[in-house]
Amino acid sequence: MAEYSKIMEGYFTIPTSLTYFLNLPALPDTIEMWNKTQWGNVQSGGIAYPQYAIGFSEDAAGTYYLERTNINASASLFAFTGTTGGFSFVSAGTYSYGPTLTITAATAANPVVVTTSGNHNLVTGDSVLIYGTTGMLQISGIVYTITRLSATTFSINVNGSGFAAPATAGFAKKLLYPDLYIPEGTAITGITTGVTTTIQTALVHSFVPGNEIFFVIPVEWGMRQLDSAVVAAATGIPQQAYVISTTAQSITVNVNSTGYTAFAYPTNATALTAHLTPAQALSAGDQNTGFSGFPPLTPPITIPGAYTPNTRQGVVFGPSVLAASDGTSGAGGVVRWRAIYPDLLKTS
Amino acid sequence: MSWVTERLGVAMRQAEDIILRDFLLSAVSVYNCKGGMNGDNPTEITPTDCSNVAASLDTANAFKFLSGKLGEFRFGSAPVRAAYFLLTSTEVQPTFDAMTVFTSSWNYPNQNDTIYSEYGAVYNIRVFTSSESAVQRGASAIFGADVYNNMCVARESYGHIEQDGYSSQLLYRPPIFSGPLALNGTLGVKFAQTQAILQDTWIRNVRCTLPS
Repeated sequence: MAEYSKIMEGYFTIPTSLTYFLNLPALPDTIEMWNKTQWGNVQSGGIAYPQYAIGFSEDAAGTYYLERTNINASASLFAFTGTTGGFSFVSAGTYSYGPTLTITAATAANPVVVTTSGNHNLVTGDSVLIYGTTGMLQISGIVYTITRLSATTFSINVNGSGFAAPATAGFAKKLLYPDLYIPEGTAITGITTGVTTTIQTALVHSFVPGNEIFFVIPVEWGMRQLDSAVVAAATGIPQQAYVISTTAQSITVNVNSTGYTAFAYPTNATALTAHLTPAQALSAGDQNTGFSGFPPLTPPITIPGAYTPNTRQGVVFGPSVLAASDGTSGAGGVVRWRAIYPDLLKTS
Repeated sequence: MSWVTERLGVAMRQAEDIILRDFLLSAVSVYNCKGGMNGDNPTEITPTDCSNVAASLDTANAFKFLSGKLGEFRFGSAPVRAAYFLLTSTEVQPTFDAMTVFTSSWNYPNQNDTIYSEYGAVYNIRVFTSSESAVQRGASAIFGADVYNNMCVARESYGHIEQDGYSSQLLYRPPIFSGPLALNGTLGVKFAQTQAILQDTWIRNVRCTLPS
């Protein structure tokens, strides 16, 4: 239901980071900007400034069309386009990914080490979707927080030492703006039983001690005693687990799992035939608001067990449209912008 | 002014829907459809998946959103079971059309409690479609196909919570303040609310792809 056009306008001051997230009440199809501070100025000291730029939602993230003052001291404008550092249209409902990376191997080891065919350009802490794996189907279709090992390798928080086979091919792509999905449910990659229970997570999670949490453990993953539906059926009340302590990718909860069936990754064959639903750890508490930071910080919890959800939509202005030609100047300038959602966007 | 307030109301409800959609995406447990034949993970949504999800909600003692519709003496119509809601994408509509057990909303015995976005029913699930539904482009586990995030919800599984003791506020600046010709007025709305999942086992994100 999008039966009305929407035009939104405003202005902002370019921050020193030379990147600005414009939070909007509607996701536009076109974004325009004018640099008021530098408007009409010819180059100075060999540095030219953006005057006008436009971006369109149908283009890849980062694409821009820019008019800039000319470096050669001419008053004429220099118009050009680029595909990185420009405008990115962001909405949680339209998951944004980086370029597709080709996986050539993933080791059956602890941790699983993934090799890509070329430079992956990932850094430690990036969220990466792995899919289309051959030989190691268990890790496919899940988003992981990765640890960079080299330009062509990274590791994920999975113990693959018991897997039947390594992966020989597959694909990966970076999930952009993962903070849209806080408190994001995360796949479980391992569970240690005991008087308290420690859960390894695929992602750097946003849980903090005191949070209420629940688990979904499909039958293929073994430890059904921890599944919330099984607990509710057995006890007549919902699962009530609370986070005691955490590390970046583990959660310890107040559940005595002594004697539980072991948590185990399915075999390759099971993964293929069962069309796996991953084992998951999810937030169960009441919701707070007002948290917009990333990476996840300890939120200002005011309700015991509560979480702080986070979402936004709008347009990211990158340094290609905010910075000068030297790539570092431009902070402090005032940008006037106009965002348009039209009644009709014809595509043919 | 009536069309202006109508437009404003639509914009506000759309904003609420987007906020709620994003919240559910971040907090609801995932079920990957597996009854289909396209060989992907998840598969396309099938009657078996609808039945599985409804059964899991029933097992959790969830409340169905709507009571059923008794059959009536109308050609081509069929009774409709008491049902949960499945909120899905308009792009998934052909998948439902291809199901032999699918009952279009226009084949219900009557239109008493159907709304514009209701597409039909499968077993104990009534399907609502929207172009704003969340889609993960190229994200399926096997073939990298588009994955649709369909929220299957029971009554009172989630709710709005108004903040600071108020609901929405209407902001109006009459045209006279825009200039001597009084050409442009300003009308806006603000609201402060959050969403909460009230019972985790009563709501599922039913992920699916499209048929091959």
